[in-house]
Amino acid sequence: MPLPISVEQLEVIGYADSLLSAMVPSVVPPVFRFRDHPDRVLVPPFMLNGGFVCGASEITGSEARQLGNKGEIVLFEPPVPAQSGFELWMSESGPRYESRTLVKNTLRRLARQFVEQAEIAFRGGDTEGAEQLCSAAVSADDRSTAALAIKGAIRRQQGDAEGERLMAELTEAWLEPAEFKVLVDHYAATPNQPAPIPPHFETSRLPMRGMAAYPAAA
Amino acid sequence: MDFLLNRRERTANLARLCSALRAYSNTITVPATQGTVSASKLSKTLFLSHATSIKNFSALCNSGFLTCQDDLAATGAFTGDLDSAEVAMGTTGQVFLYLSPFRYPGTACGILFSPTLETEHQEHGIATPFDSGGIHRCFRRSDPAEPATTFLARHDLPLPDHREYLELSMQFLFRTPEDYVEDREPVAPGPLGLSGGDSRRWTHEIRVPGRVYLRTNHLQAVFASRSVVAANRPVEDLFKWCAGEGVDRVTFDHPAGDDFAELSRQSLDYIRARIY
Repeated sequence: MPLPISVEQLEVIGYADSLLSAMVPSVVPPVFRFRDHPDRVLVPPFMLNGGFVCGASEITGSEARQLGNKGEIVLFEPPVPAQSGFELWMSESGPRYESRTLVKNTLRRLARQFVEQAEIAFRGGDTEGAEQLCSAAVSADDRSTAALAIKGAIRRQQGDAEGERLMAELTEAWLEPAEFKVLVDHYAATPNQPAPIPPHFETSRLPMRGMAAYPAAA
Repeated sequence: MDFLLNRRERTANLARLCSALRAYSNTITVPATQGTVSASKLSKTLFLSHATSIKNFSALCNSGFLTCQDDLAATGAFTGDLDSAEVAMGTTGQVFLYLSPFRYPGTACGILFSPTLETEHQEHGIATPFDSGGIHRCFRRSDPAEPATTFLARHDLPLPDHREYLELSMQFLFRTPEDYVEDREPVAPGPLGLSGGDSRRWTHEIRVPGRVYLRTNHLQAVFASRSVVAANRPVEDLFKWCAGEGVDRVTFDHPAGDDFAELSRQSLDYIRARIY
């Protein structure tokens, strides 16, 4: 296992993903390089702990450029000094590196705005617009219950029961399926109508990190 | 028939490498530790992995197949890269898969195939007991004067028989067989004459010419963060297909904050649950 590396030695030169426009805004994993050794590049998977990068894979600058050519990572100029407690995210105007608290608040606010616009679009019959806005909302905040519920309502309207079921599965970490159904019922029952107040459910009740749709080994 | 001849050469390589590894094992002492899974079981059942970026994964779900660099270049989806390891090693016509959990640099999506995929591609597919790109990029070889492509050809092994060499590696070079999967260094370097680099040095690579189709009974599991599934229609459609076909699906929080290792961890947990 590689040794932890202080972020003070590093700068951010890109992000380890390549996004579709539908997934902006979104947090992205940083690609670091050593300030004193620009040919030493660090890529995920890694953890950040107390200002240290733990478990990163080290590659060369040439290899990083090749990963960029394959659309696996995106490199940008100029590099930004890495800072503890900071988050890299992709905004509509490009990558931004800001304090984690600020990013979290900004993305949650944007997600709420997208949901409001999506609901208006859906009630106005603009299903495609509503779908795009829900995608943006869930990219900004992947626990946006309302965005997933509106998606569920869109799938129901399209007669896509499996799609509606999948949206319910995506909320299973913090919402009971029956609660999700109530939300979808709410959005699906009132197309082309003024928006009533949606039902509210706690979103952090279940501490489970993710869902795994597979059985354990026999 | 060129490929039959090539398969014969690969089979001869396998016999030579296995023999060398057995002889090597008599020269070393690896502390015996009881593992939770046998080398025989783990080597035969380990899945083939492929992780990629969200954009590439969405394109993969949309097209329904993994494709090689040559095909991507022909369609204009890839501009080519004369400095790439694939060009240097002559592997631009091949799709790459690895016998390991998801490693760098993907954090949001990936797929696992069942070992049966290798049987389907046993005539043309190739395995090497290391990441071929590492030969070009970061490994040191005991004879650096030998051309990298010659070194690679000497280590090309047949599918799925290369798993015999994997079994011997797990048995002789690692403290326990699962160390191979858990990204723990082998206790002994082995007889290949490679040093430097990281887990790419011992991870078995599978190369399949042309294309590997996704929606087949070889698909074992699909992994994607929640937002990738919800915000990409092609990914959503693949997840729905998997539900209908009984293919495992794993979703998780979008990587953020302190944790950009969840995809890798999820794939490791999946392998442990299914194989150990």
